[in-house]
Amino acid sequence: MALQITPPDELWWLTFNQFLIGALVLGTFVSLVFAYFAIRYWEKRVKPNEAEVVLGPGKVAPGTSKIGWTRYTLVVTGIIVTLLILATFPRTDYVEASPPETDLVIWVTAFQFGWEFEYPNGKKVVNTLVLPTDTVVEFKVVSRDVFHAFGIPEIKGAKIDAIPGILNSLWVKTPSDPGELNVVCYELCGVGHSLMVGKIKVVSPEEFQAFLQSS
Amino acid sequence: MSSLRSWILRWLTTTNHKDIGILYMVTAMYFFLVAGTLALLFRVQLAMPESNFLPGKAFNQAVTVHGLVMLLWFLSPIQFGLANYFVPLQIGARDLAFPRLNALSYWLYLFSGLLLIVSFFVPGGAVDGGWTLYAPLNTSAYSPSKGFDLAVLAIVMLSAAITLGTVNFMVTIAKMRAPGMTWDKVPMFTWSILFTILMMLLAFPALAAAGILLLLDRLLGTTFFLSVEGGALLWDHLFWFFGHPEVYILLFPSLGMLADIISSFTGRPLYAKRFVLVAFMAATVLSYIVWVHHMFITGTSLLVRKIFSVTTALISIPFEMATLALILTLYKGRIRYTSPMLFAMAAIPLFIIGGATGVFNAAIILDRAFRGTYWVVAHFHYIMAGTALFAVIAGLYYWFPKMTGRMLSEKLAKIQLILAVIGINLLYFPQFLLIDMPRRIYRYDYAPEWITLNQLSTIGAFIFAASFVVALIALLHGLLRGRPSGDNPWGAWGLEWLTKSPPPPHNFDGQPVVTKDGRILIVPEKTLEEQGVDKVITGEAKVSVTGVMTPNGTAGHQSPSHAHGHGHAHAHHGSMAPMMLALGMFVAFVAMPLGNTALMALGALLAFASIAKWVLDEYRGRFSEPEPRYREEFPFVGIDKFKVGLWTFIAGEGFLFGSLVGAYIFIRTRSPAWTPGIELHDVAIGLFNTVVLFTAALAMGLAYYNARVGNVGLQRASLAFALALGLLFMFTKAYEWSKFAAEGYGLTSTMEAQLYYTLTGAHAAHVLVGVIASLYALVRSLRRPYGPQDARTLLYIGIYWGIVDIVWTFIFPMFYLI
Ligand code: HEM
Ligand SMILES: [Cu+2]
Ligand SMILES: [Cu+2]
Repeated sequence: MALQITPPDELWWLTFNQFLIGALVLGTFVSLVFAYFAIRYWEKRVKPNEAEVVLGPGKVAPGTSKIGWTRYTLVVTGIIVTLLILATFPRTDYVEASPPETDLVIWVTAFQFGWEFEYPNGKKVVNTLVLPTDTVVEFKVVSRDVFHAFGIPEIKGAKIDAIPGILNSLWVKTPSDPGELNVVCYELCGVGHSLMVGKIKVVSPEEFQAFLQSS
Repeated sequence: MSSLRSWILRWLTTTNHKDIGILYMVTAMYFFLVAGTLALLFRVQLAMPESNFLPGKAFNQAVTVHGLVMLLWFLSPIQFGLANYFVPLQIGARDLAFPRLNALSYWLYLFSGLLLIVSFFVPGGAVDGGWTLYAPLNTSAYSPSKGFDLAVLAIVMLSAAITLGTVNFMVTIAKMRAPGMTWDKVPMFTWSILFTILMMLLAFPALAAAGILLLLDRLLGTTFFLSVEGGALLWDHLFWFFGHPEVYILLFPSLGMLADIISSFTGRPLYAKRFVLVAFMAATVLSYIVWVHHMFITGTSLLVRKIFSVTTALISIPFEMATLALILTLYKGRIRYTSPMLFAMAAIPLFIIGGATGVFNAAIILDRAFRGTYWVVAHFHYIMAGTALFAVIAGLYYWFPKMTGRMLSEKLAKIQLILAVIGINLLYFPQFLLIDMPRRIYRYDYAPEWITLNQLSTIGAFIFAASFVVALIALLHGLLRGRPSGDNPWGAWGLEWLTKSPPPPHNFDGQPVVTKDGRILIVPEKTLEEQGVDKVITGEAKVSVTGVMTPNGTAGHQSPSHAHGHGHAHAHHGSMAPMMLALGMFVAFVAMPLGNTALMALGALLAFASIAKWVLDEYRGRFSEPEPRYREEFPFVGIDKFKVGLWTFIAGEGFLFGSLVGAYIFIRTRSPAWTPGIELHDVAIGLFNTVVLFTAALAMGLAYYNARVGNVGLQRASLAFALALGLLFMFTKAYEWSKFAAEGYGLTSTMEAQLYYTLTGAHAAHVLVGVIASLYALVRSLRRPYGPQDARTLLYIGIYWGIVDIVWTFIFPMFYLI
C-alpha cells in the first residue's frame, strides 16, 4: 500500500476529543459563573447596598438598560463554536470524498430485515460479510424497500443511509487484527428493525482469498 | 344536578381565554400521563432486552406515540395553555382577539389527540413508524394499519388548530396591548410566544402539506412517498422543514418564561433584553434554513451539507446568548429561591448540556456517528424534557396562585425538584455513553455492554416519573388545601399581578396603562377618557389609580364598580359551535379509514351544521367583539384586527401552497421524463378559467366600492356576479377533471396527474371557500346591504379572492404551459 491512509474513525476521534475539550472548558466556565452568581446574590448573602433591585410590583421591565459594550461579550462563545465547526471541514472533505485508494468495493442492499452483500466477483452473501484485515473498503449502499441506515457501531462514523432509489457510499479501513464487527440498522424500518443485525468477520488476507473463491 | 349541568355546559361552551387556558393545561397533562406511561413501558423493555415485555410492533408503537404526543400534544399545548391564560393578562388585554376561534383551536387540539389515542383500538393498531414517520415505511404498502391513517389525520387536524391559534395570538399581541405597552416593554414570555407563532406559521403548513400528500397516498393510492421521484427524500425535506423550527417552537416559550421568572425573583430586568430580542429574531429566521442537518447522512451534496452545518453553528449563537443573558440577569440581583425560581435555575445547567451536545451534532463528520443513536436522544431530551419542561413546571408554580388564588406547597416542590434533577440526569446522561446504540430497538443481543447503562437509565426514568407523582399530589393539595395566596404572593412585576387571583372575567377593574417610566396604572375608563391616554402615559395627568400596591403585595381594589361600563364589559360569549365542529370532524375522521360511510356522513353533517350555526351567529351579530382601541404601533398602525388576522392566515395558506409547489419542483427535477403541460392540458380552458377567476376578484372589488359609495343595486349585482363566476370556475374545473380522467389520466395514472389533481384540487377547495363567503355576503346584502361602516367585510373577501388568484397564477403555468 503506497498511500498513507488515515482511517476515518481516527479523524472522528480526533475531532470528537477537540469538541469535548472545547465543550468542557466553555461549559465549565459558564457553569462556574452561574454557580457563583447563584450563591453570591442569594438574598441571604447579598449585602443590602450591593443589590440593584429595579423591578417589583406595579412595574414592567424596560427594554433598554445601560450596559454598553459588555453585551457584545454574549456572542463570544457563539463565535468560538462557529470557528470550531468550520475547522472540521478539511477532515469532513477527506472522509466524505472517495477513498484515496480502494482495495475492495462491496455492494450492500438493505431489505426488511437484513443485509445482502455482493463482492466484485459477483459472490453474494446475506447478513455475514467476510473482509480482510487492514484494507480500504468502499461500501455502495442501496435499499430494496424502505429507508434503512447501514452502520458499523465499532467503527465511529461508519454510517450511511440506505434509501430506495439512491446510491450512497461510505469507506472504512478494516482493523489490522482479525475479529468480528456488527452491521446494524440505524433507521426504524418496521417490526424487525431491532433484529436487523449482520456480522462482519475480519480475517487474514489469505483466509479472505480462500473465502472469496469458495462457492 | 342542574348546577353540575351548567358547570359542564360552561366548560363545553366557554370562549374565555382563561377557561380555555385551563382546558389546554388539563388536557395536556392528561396527554403527558399517557405518553409518560408509554415511556416507562418501553424503558422496562430496554432494561430487560432479552425479555418479551414489550417486543416488536408494540414497542415501536410505544416509542412512536410517545414521541408524537410529548411533542405535539403535550409540550407545545401546555405552553400555549399558559400563553392563553397569561399573554392577554401580561399585555393588559381583555381576551384574545377572536375568542370563538380560540375555542375552536382548543377543541380541534383535544379531538385530534383523541384521534391518536383511539388509533390503538382500530384494526392494525396505533402508528408505529417513529415520530418522524419516515417514507416509504409510512405508506400503506409497508404500514397498512388503520391506526396509521388516524395518526396522519390527527396531525393534519392539529395543524389546522395551530394555524388558527397563530392568527389569534398574532392579532392579540399586535393590536391589543394596553396603552403605553410599547414593543420594548412587552414581557419576554409574550415576546417568545410572538416568535413562536411566527415559526408555527411557516412550519405547520409544511407538516400539513406532508400529511395531506401522505393521506392521498394512503387512502387514494397516489405514490408521492412510494415513488423514486418523491419518496424518502421528499418526506425528509418536508418533514424536517417543519421539524427543525418545531424544536424551537418547543423551546422559545420556555425561554420566555425563564426570563420573566428569573427577573421576578432577582428584581433585575433580563440582561440586554433588546440584544437578546434581536438574537431571537435572527433565530426565528435561521430556523428555516437548518433542516438539512437532520439529513447529514442521506447522501445530499457535500456543499449543501456544509452550508447547513454553518447555518446550524450560527443558529446556536442566539441560544448561547440567551443562556448567558439569563445568567447575567442574576448579577447584582437579590435572588429569592422560591419554588418557581428553583425550577427555573435548574433549567439552566440542563440547557448548557443540551446546547453543548447540539454543537457536536452540527459537525458533519461527528454526526455520522451520532445520527440515529441514543446520543441524539440524550441531546434533545436534555433540552426538551430538561430545559423546556423544567421551565414549564417553573411557570406552573409561578402562575398557579394567580389562576387559583391558592399557593402550592414549597415543601412538595422541593421534593419534586430533587427527584426531577436526579431522575433526569440518571435517565439521560447514560444515553450519551450509549453513543453506538441505535434508537427504537427493543433488543441488542450483540452488545451486552449496553445493558447496565440502559438499566441505569430506566431507574432514572422511574425516579423522574416519581417527581411527577409528587407534582400531582402538590397540585391536588394546592387546589384543595393551599394557603390563600393574595393577589401578588411573589412580589412579582408585570400586569398579571395587578388583578385579583383568580382574575375576574374581564381581567382588570379598569384599563391598565403603562407609563413611560415603566409603572403600571389601572385607570378607570372614565378618567382615561377625560385625561387623554397620552397624558396618562407620560405622567402629566393626575389620575386616581385602582391598582395600588399595598405593602404586603396585594392589589387594593378600591373601585370595582368600574368593572362594567364603557363598552368593555365582558360579554358572555358561550358557544357550542366550536366544540361541535371539532367533534364532527373527529367522528368523520375516525370513520374515514374504516370505510364507514354512514358515520362519515354523520360527522360531516355535524361539522357543517356547526359551521352554519357559526355563520348564523355572525349574521345576527350575536357576538360583537369590539375593535381594540388603544395600541397602534409599527408595523400595525391603522390596520384593523381582522386585516391583521386575515393576512396572518393568508401567510399560513401561502406556505401550504409553497410546500406543495416545493413538492412539485422536487418531484419534477427528479423525474427522468416529463410531458410538458401544454401537450396534456387544454390551454384554452385554463386561460378561460384564469379570466373567470380574475374577474371574480374584480367583481368583489366593485361590490366593496359600491358599498362604500352606497349604491345598493350595484353592490348586489357585483356580489351576484362574483358568486356566479366562482361557480363557473368550479364547473369548468369539474368538466376539465372528468375529461382528463376519461382520457385515461386518472388520479394515480402518472406522477404528473397526481400532482395536477392534488394542486388544482387544493386550489379548488380554496375557491369553494370563496364561493361560500360570496354567497354569505350576497344573502346578507339582500337582507341588509353593506354600508360604508361595514364595507370592509367585502374588502376582506376581495383580498381572499385576490390571493386565490395569485395562487392560480403559479398553478396555471406549472400545469398548462411548461
Ligand atoms: C445549540 C443549539 C442546537 C444545535 C446546534 C442542535 C443541533 C442538532 C442536530 C445537528 C441534530 C441532528 C442530529 C441527528 O439526528 O443526527 C439535532 C437533533 C435534534 N435536536 Fe438539536 N440542536 C440544538 C438545539 C436544540 C433544541 C433547542 C432542541 C429542542 C427544543 C433540539 C431538539 C432536537 C431534536 C428533537 C432532535 C432530534 C430529532 C429526531 O431525530 O428525532 N435541539 N440537533
Ligand atoms: Cu432498520
Ligand atoms: Cu434541527
